[in-house]
Amino acid sequence: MKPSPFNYLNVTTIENALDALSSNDNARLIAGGQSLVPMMNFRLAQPDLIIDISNINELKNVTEEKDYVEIGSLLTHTNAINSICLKKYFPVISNALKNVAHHTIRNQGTVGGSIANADPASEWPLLINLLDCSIKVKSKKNTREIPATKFFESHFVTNLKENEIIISIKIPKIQNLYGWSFHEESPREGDFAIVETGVIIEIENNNIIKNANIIIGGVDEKVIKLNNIENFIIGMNINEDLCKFDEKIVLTNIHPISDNHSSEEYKKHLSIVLLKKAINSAKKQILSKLND
Amino acid sequence: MINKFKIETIVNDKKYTKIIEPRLLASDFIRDNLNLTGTHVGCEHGVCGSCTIKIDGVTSRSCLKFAVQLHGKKVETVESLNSNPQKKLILKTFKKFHALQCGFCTPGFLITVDELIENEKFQSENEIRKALSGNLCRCTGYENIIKAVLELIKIRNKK
Repeated sequence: MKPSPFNYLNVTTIENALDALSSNDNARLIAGGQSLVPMMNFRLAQPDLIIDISNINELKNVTEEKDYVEIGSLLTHTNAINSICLKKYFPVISNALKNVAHHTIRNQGTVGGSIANADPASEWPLLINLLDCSIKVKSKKNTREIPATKFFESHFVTNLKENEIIISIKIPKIQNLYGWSFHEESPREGDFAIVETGVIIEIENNNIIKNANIIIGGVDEKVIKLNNIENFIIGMNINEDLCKFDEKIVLTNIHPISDNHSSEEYKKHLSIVLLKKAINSAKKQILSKLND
Repeated sequence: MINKFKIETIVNDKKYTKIIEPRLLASDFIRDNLNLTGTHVGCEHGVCGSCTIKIDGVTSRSCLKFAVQLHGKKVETVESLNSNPQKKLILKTFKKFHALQCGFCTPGFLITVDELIENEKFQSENEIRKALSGNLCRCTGYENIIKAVLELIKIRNKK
């Protein structure tokens, strides 16, 4: 329950972090440390060098631009929940993040750490897909933006290269009238999700659904975007029954596995229940906005 | 070759300078190097909440931080609650409501509650239950802890 020996380097600029990362083989970045340190305590992770980026202040900001909001990778879950800007444009974020572990963990854990860890049952990877974010990463020679759909590859595997650092996440503002919802089922408060779902539905002036993002997590090697269901409801009138889709088209797109908490069958059942609940609550929100 | 580090940190308003290895957990540093044994070590992987401390005014699991990361930071442990009457009230109220039995988890609860009552956001029983869900107690069944915190919130709101 104690980590194996490692060297430590505290950096205060992105450049110093990139230098250290590119010149050491078995180096790991530490931000909040809420996933890495348990792994180190169990000796599942044994890095030779820990590069502490938690004191790089320029990565902690929320910046509003005309078409998007950009959040630094070191923004903690607590600061994201409390951000007035994020609450204004993306209320789904604070709603979903209240499910991230516990109060004290949320004080330390960061958005960048959470998406680099890429747990398919955690909340940030779902939000990144739900909100069509792009992830800005930097290496010594290059800066690139990775779209949400390309970033997550498998269980704890991302598109991030060994010499790259996540700098920020760009969240595009939603232009149309929209409704959102997030639902999660977990064994206890703060536990990992068994299944989590997020829905955003956008409508045009004539109440026709123009765009839909329907995302499910915890039931596959990564968070899954359910394109089939999205295509099913795009073009429908918001007043129609949006949950008449064939349940099989959900089940063919997800591959849950049984574990100590729940069987494969239960996870499939729960997926359908939560999806319908999520779609209907996003719809309800649009209807109440229309009546205002 | 592992380098040792000289760190300077302020713990409960007292400045300490120590030479340590990077792999030393903050929880072990506080207990073994500073002899502040009020902070308890339970699960050592961030689940039980017994080792909760405050770093620069914000709660953190001390088993998920390295001592070397405390360099230049201001740390408060459960011992700090003895320092002023307002904070002592937390201890008195826990005693009044019998909000502890064996006491192993209590330091973590006390520090977490200290942060909750500083924050106006926490008002209802439901919010308190959620906020304390990260601290495990195997004796009390939580009811008396919740009663104590509700009383503390009532006192805070009157001020």
